[in-house]
Amino acid sequence: MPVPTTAAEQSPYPIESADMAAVSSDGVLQAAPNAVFHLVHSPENWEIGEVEENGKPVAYWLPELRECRVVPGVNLCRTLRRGEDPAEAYLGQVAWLQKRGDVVLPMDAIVGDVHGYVRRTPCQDPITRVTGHYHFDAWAAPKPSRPGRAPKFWRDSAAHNAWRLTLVRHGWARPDGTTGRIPDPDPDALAARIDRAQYHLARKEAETGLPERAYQHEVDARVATVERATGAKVPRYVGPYQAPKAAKQ
Amino acid sequence: MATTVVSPGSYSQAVTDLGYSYVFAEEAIREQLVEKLSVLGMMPLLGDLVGLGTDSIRITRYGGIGFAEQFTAMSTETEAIVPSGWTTNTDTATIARYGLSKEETYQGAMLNRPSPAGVDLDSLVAAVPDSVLKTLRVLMLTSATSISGVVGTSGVAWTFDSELNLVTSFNETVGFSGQAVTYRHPEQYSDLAASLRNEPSFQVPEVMSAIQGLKSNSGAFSFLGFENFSSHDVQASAGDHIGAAFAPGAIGWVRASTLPLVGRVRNPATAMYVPDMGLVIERDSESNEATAKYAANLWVGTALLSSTLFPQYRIRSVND
Repeated sequence: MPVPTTAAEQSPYPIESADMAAVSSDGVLQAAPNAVFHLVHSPENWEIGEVEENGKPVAYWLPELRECRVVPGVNLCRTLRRGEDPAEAYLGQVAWLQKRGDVVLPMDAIVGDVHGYVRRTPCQDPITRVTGHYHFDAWAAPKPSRPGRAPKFWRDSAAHNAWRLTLVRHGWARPDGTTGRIPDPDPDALAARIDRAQYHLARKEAETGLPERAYQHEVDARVATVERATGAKVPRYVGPYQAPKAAKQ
Repeated sequence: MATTVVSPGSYSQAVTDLGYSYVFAEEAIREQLVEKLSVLGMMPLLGDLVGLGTDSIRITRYGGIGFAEQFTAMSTETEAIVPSGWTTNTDTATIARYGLSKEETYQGAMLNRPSPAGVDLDSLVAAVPDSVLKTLRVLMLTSATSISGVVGTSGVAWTFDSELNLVTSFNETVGFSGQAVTYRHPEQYSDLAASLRNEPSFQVPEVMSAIQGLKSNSGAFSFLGFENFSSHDVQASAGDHIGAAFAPGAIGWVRASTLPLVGRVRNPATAMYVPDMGLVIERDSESNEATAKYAANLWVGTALLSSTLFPQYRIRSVND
């Protein structure tokens, strides 16, 4: 499945991953090839992430995004007929997801200054030696790993959270001029998550049988979770993204 | 050049001309560790598309009648009853073509140690049905990544709090029958076991032993009403494991029987058909290059059915 072309020179994230020599002695990521994916959001799924503002981390409710792999035969993805446009393989899957109420981010979506979100690197299955491409999101990078170990990835969570905040506030644009956005958070969905956090705090506070130190650690962790949940800011859509103007000399 | 053996004659002097660097143990070649979990029992067959004129099958559903609808109180003896409606909807499953092939040279077939001491084309062909089961397992777990509902937070280890949230999510679903299965990465169970350390009510030997004893090749262990399976093929997304919890039947599979291909393949005498799996295996050779190979074609697909039929949630936790 071809990865849509993005304007790599405009993005801080290269299309192809960084030099694999630092990651694997074979010079190629030792992992089984996987499929390209869409990022999909269900309107009731939100989680808390920190975004840096004025040098300080600020908690926001951010959309939970999942990777729906484009694999023929899975969830309405088809085997292509001869001469068919590659996009025809997954249009059925996109329509099915949208019919269920999910928001599907196009692979060539431009969110803020970031073009696209799929990155890929050549890879080789360490056992079968089958070669191909490993697809992952723009905020991950392979970690050096020893032979025989499953691949692990670094994550730039700060940049990912900032991107998700931009996605909610400004939506996305595509090279063909079309736009889209994530619906604002449903207050009931957020309230349900806060309720669960408060329930677990109450449950742990009523616990007996734990040593004092463990008890305090467990309660403190849940107090922090509740404070984070109740204090997290709720982002709203404000309009299309406007690139910041360069500072005057 | 002759080797002079100085008395006493020793192994080290004799081995170069008269001995071996090594010999093989007199046993069959051993298989490396691999996960052998089959998910066919968890995935209902939604249909066989052979001869139906399409690569897609629709699964229909209805709602809004029977237990979902109550009578309306009439205000008078003669008030007319307004007929009410009902709902229908569909899910769709599609097959795709999958392929697997291995090749060896004539020289290799002649000179290599044959099975069971070595690996030859016959033993590779014999392993193909296991590859079909592996493929179905991966397809099922890939289908599960499209589940809308989620429990757990990205970048955070799975905890007992999350486990209780999962149980609550199912129990509060209208019509939930009480039966659900989970498929998770072994690390997600390790995180759960670690979290249970500070849950005195659940620190019972049976639970801890069951969690610690769960292996990806074994059956399920029961915990809080779920039948829990372990698999390394649970998908990863953005640095997280994406497990799944669903009522049995939420993910089904479809196939296209390969019986119509009988007599149509190039070498009918050597082709093997497994119609129940949608599989055909053909053997061929290239005399110019002195190679022989097999090519296996598989026509299957998986589909996630609606959450209005089968409650379902993704289980998301950190992959570190």
